[in-house]
Amino acid sequence: MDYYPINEYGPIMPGMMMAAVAIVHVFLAQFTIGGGMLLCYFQWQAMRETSGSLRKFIGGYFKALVMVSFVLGALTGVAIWLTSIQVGPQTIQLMVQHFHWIWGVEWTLFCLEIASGYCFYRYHERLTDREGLTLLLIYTAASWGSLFWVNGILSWQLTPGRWLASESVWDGIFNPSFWPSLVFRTIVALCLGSLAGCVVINLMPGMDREARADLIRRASKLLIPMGAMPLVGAWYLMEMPADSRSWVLGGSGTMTLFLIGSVGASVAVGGYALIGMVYQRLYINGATGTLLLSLSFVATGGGEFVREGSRKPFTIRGRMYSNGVRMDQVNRLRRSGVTSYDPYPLRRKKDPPDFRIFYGALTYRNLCSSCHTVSGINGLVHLVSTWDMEQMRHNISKLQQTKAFMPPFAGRPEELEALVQFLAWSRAGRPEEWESDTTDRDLVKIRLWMNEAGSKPATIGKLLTNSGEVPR
Amino acid sequence: MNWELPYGLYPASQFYVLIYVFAFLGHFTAVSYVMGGMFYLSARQMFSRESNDLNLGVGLLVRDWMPFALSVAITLGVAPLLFVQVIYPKNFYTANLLLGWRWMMIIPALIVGFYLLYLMKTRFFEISSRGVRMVILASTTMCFMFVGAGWSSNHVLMELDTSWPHIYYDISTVDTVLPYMLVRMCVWTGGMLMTFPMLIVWQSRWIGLESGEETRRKSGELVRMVRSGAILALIGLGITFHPWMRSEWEQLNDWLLHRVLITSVLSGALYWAYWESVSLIGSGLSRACVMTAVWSVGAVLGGFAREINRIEVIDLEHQQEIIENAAGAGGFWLFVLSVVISGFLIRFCVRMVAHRLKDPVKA
Repeated sequence: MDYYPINEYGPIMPGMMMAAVAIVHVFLAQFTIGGGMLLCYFQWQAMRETSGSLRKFIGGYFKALVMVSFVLGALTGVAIWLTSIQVGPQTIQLMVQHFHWIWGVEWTLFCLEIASGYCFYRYHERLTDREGLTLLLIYTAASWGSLFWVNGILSWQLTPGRWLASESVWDGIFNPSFWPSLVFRTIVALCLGSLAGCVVINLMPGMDREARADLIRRASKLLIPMGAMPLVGAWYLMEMPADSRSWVLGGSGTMTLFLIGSVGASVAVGGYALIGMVYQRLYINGATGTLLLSLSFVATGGGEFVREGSRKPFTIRGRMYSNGVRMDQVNRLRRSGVTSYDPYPLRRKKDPPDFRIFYGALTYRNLCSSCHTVSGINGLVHLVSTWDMEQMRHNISKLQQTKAFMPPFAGRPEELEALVQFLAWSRAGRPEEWESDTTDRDLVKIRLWMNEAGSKPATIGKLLTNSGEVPR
Repeated sequence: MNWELPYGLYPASQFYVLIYVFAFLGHFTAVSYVMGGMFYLSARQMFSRESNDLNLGVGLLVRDWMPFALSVAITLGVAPLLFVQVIYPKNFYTANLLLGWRWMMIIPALIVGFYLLYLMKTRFFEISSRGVRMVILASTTMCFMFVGAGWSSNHVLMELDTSWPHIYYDISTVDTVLPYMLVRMCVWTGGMLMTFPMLIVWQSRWIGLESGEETRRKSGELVRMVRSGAILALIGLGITFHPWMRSEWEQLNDWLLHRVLITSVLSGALYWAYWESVSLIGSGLSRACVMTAVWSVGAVLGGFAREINRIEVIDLEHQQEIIENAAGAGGFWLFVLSVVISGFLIRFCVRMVAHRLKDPVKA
């Protein structure tokens, strides 16, 4: 196991930082793609008729696109990379090792996107309509192309499929959930591009209501594919591993709530878009457009949370757990210990009162801190607040059976006991004096329970046969 | 056949190091436009007596193109960011984690700097008082210097693997990287100041600015920039060769590093001498090509010196298995194909626009 210095962020769990950056980036990136598609459509329309407002919109909208996506979109993309290093260096290392050429392809598409985008941004007024459309098509194809490849890597994390056996980059990219995820994201991109268009149309000066209504009616045509969202969503759910699907469909309260929130927001946006804007051809003002766009942000946020959460206990399904421990390392760590080779000391200002507390803190840092805090959000002290010592030993020994979305404990029984003592000490308010009540009998029981639960995740049977996946 | 080279470099490592160095140089060139441009505008704002000096010639040109240059710099920065993770994953990730939020702050700094560049393009900037403009220029420069300092600290930390646990325990000891970081900053800032005028020469050729009298008159400023950059870089390198620095930074005693570095410095000196002796703004294509060729030799060797310095310290042989595994991952030929297609399409876009600018659409 590779050891890295682990940072803790007080009451905030590291995953929340990741989620915040990722949701903003996904939203902006999808807006960029949808915005490009909308502009291609409008440019094509402008070539067929002499509408001044269409041309005015194209220039204004592209300016907004550049200001938002070329700056915030690009930089949150870099931020996502840096944040994922902060949260799970082992995961990103494995991903880079296997997919760096695919990221390289995505990078070449970024270069193309920037070049064609700036050519249009600076010179579109001096180009012919056909040349403008050519630039927009290249820009949009490049941005959608980057989605195509990065979608492969993201969906691979949840459904690696045949990659687990072959480790072929193509098996990884074209994994079971690749196509539904790509279609879904493309529809979302169209929706965001269209709704952002409605906001921009309302903000443009010197345009009468009739011209705005005309542009909104045209922009709303890109919302029509939203009608297919339930089907594509169902397709995606079908491709999810059975256990992940069961969690989002009621097995985990939090994930189900987020899914309901996301679906609810999507239904609200889709319902208004399809019935109001497309069918009844309603005019929407800037406030309504902004509200719909905000609801889309909520839907995106909820959807991304569910997608990330449904991978648990893995970051890379069938290969690596959320805490950076690989599946094939668990047995070894149960023999050698997870803290034995950790070169990093504890950062605490005061020395712990007992050696078990010290090792418990190290065990917590290595195995738990990527998803939990001690007493903040998703704090372990709260989660074990009603458990007595024996229950803690039992439940953590059989962690994957206690909660199916938890990984098996990857350390020695002594480390598990140290973790129990650390949690009990933290729960007691971290007193100056602490005496561990551990007996040899406790350690024997822990070992027995760990052996009973085994070193595989609880869902191993379902998970690895669900899509014909075979563990290495 | 034994393919092993010095520093434990096997074919896979050689290949990635080679790609990394050239990707990094692309990023460095674009960053040089941004950083050099900021220093140029700040200096011009500070020392010029004319109130609208930044609204003319090179000043206007640089302000206009700066956001695009930053976009290019960030985009070209993605490639070295990717390959550095393939070659030195453990060291790079550890340095990231040790710097923690200090490292993450480079993102908000870049966002603020980016929007300030757009602000510099506006009418508001043009009509603002000298003081307001100076504040905007200084803030933007500070943002980018902070990002540079973050990268330099990261680079130095990557090499200090024996100090990692100590720095992790007491983060205030991260200040030990400061002298090394400042030396690096001196060398890189000097290099950027030297590179910026070269980019202006080419940009002036491209947009036809070289015929402008104002630009010709101001070309002396570009010579002064090259001179300042060369002096700054020499100061940085001079400190590097101080006995104390060499005893602390043992890899500097390496024979190959010495030779590569000295050749790079000589190329830099030749480049400087060329700028001092020949008028390059508005000159013929051959002069611009000679200048660029000399710069390229210096920059490529400088890039390799940077890598040799790092490879001397980081045990790549130990990470050989990881790098070999990465090399075995598929997708390389798709990448090559994508480079070719994207390159062709970028050229197509630029040529299409250039053609239209020469032959405007008749109303």
